Amino acid sequence: MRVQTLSILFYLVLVLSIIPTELIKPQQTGNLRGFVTDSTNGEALVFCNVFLKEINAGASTNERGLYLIKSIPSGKEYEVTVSYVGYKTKILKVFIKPSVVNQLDVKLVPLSVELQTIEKVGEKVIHENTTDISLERISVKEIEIQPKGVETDIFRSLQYIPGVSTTGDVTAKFYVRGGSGDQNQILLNGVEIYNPFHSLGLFSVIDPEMINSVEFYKGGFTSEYSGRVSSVMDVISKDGNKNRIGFKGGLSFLTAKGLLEGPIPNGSFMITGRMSYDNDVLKKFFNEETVPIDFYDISFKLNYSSEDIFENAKFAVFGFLSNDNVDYEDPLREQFKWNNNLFGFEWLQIYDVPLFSRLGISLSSFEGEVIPNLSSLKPRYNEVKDFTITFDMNVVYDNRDEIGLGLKLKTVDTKFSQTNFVGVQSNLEKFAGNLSLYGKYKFLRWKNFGLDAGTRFNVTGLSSKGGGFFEPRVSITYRLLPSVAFQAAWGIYQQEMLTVSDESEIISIFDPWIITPDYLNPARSIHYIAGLDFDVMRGIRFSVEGYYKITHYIPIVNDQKFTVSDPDLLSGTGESYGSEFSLNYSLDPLNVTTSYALSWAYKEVDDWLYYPKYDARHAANIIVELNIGNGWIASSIWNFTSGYPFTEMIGFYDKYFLTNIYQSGQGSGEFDPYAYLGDKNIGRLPAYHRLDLSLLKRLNLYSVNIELGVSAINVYDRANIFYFDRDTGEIVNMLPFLLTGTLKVEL
Amino acid sequence: MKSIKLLLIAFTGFILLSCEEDFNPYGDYFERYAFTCILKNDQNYQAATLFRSYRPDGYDPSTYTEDPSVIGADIRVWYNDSVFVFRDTSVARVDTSRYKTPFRYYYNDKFRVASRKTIELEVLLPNGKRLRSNSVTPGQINYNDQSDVIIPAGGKSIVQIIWNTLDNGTFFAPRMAIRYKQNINGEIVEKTKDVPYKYVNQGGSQVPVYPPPSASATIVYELSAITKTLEEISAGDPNKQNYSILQKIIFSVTAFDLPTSRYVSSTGGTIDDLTVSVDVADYTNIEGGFGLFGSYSKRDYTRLRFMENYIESFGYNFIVEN
Repeated sequence: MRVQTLSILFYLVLVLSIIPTELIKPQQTGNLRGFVTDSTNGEALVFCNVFLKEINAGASTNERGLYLIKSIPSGKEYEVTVSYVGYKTKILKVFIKPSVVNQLDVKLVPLSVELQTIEKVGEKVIHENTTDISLERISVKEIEIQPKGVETDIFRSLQYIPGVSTTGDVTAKFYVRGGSGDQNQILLNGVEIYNPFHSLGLFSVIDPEMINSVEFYKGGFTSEYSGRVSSVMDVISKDGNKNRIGFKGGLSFLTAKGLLEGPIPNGSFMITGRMSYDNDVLKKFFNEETVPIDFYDISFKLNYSSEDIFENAKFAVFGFLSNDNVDYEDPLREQFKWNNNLFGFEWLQIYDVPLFSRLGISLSSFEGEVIPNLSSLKPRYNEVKDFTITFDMNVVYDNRDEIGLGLKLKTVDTKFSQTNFVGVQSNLEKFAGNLSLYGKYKFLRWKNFGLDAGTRFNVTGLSSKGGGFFEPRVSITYRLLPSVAFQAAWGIYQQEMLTVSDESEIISIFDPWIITPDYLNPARSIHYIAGLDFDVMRGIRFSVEGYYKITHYIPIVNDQKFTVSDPDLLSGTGESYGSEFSLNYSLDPLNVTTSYALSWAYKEVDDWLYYPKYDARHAANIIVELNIGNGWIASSIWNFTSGYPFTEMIGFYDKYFLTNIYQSGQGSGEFDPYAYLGDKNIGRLPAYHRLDLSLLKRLNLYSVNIELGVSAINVYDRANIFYFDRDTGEIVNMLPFLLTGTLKVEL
Repeated sequence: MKSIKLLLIAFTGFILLSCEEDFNPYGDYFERYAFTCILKNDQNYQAATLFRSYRPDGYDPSTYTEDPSVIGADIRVWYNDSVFVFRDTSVARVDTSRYKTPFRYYYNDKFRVASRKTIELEVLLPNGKRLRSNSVTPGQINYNDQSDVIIPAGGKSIVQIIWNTLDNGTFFAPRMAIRYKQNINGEIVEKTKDVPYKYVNQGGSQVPVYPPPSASATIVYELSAITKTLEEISAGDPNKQNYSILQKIIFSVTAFDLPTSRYVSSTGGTIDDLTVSVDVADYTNIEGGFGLFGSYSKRDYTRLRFMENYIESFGYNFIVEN
């Protein structure tokens, strides 16, 4: 069976490789290639447009700032327009020599007035057949001006994207199109971060200062991604300033942080660090309870590129460390620890023929522990060690078609132990490897049609039932009219790792990762997505997407595990569907984004159908950003979500709690009220809505860039219900009105 | 411009009007019953409670003050080919802050349970509803010969007792207590004092920690905890000679049957203090209701004794026992 499937893959790749060869016979054309960077620091500019007016063609830079424009009639000089939001558009002349790759690296100068909207030149032409349905490109600059609860946070900004939901202000954990939280993959430079949250999920471990670009797939992602069935967030960190030593420092009510960057011979470096220094502000998030959270995160990246070593090669070594600790410094109370450690090496090679390759070697680990000390808690432990080697290559043909090939070898070692609520212990340990290959063909030769078709094949699986499995995926774009594009995607996805998380936990401190046990199939999902994208008029864009997603074999914690031999997990099915609408107006000095999502999500286990806790029927956002001038920027976000499901209370009974079996009579225990519940998640909480405002001032004093920010959270002090404490009858609300401030200094 | 203003006014009005919303966490009410009974092997007096559920006017259950006890139920326990009927009775309530009426319960004083026996329950409520349950009593505990027998034990700073049982999943509750006699104005009063397995420093004061029920089949007492307990017996009293410590120390382990072990585990605290779980699973083995029908088996460890010189080092008298 394995041999047969390998043969199929081989022939598929062969056929895909042969078809276009006729189309790449030598012609009197040349190619134009280069990097686009920020002139002040050499940082790659991602998704930047490079446009040739004479032939009405162009390209967008990739996540490493590289662009390639194929089949340019040679022997002529062209006017190249390079444009990017927030940067001064640059027009250059280039002479295209025949049958060679002409190199043109471009440095763009940032505009002094932040967020000035510059229309990207050639946007419609360059992106007319781009197959990017359900892809959101997130700008860190935009996140920085949004109102902040405590910290600027990439995950917090996701909740304003239609199709992404959270279960409250307290957590930055997110759910995408009806999928559970562990179905979202967080990649840093292509390497997986297993627990990307600080402080009980309050915000992400990824400090925005380290980010160069973010791509977020809500679904329908293509064959190069693997391991998750809902979404992928791909974060690329900065390279560091290639021109001069620079330092940035920042302060919020919770953390202090810094960034140091600068050039090294033939390269650059960047190191960021962030640590908590005071957690008083967190009381607002934890119902006025003091939680002694300490955390830090450190990231670094070192880049090297020398023609003396390898021509057109770039090497990078990067790392990321995060650590959280909750310690009450009381022997009678529990202690929590969790950390991520990630180290990676990357070799990006550009060949003279139109071929790119990337080799990545990485080690990512996660360790989480609940140490009961002398409390009544039960100990819990989880460890994940992930070693991954990836190799990706991309061939671009003269007719703009592309072939992508790659392989991924991943070994994962997991250890997990816990005692469940009835005292039954689970010890799960597994070491396994996954070898997967992918091949895909991007049909881009027609200007009004784009196709990305391919498949990933799991030669071996981490789980015993995960090997020999194909994950075919297709994404298309067809431009019906110059301003209207139809997009669709379909794909099959497999996930072999999961968190053993209790669905009923709305704040969870321990999300242990394990490999799907042998008695279960790995989760498998099918995505169907279709949508329309309208460029209504200059500066106004409207898009609508509909989706249907069904996921089989979702592992769900078995709360009826009463003996060691009972399974820890049961297999369920998830189904979700909905429509998402967004309208964006973006013309200097105003940027308005509105979105609305109508969605349904269900889960079924043991023939019992219920709404997962993150199912909200309606969600809407209005984001307004206004560049007032003189360095002042104002923004507001209004967020509305119809009620989340909750399990209704039916009544109470006086439950017996054994306190001391050695005391006779009434003294041996006590009776306390205990709520009994109705059907799971059948009720709905009231709607959630909140208005946040932010004002930012950027100024330059003695060559020091200073940014002062003030945010007002929940301006009209809406009492959004977080949960209902059944023991006390207390309704616990989410964030009240909160005023926060940030300070950032850049040398 | 006018339309934008109107839109803004409408939007502001909408959000302000929607700031307050009623929220009812209750679904449709239906009455349930909770039965609790743990049968014992060390006495003939077996007790059980039976309550109906209730719903307070508001959301705080502690505001409900009407005694939910159910009287008039027919409670029968089948054990060893015999059926034992429980009768209702009442006793003065210790805590009257919530319910003012006497504490009502059911009892039978004609049997005690032995190891590895099937027990069955049927409760016929006055309204005709039935609750059923069954269990198997826990197996007997056997103390391991590796357990310590004297305190202090040969220069060791701990005292360890080890036991075993053939049952899987059993929870155990160990207890150590010092027996002593105190001369109070010429009258000799016999007392016991429970021994924690350790003391911890909490905010500058030493806090005793007693062993909670757990699946562990061993317990380690720090000798320093035993020493401190002995010191506390006469704390503040300079006349140490008024205290006589009995040579034999009480040490017992109570083994719970499987349903009681699960119940004790599930009620032994939340997952942690920070996790917020909105639908906590509720363990019961009562068919048609809530609560527990289980049993325990208690066995003493009689070999544990104090060394005379150790006791006398506190200034206490030492009472030798056979």
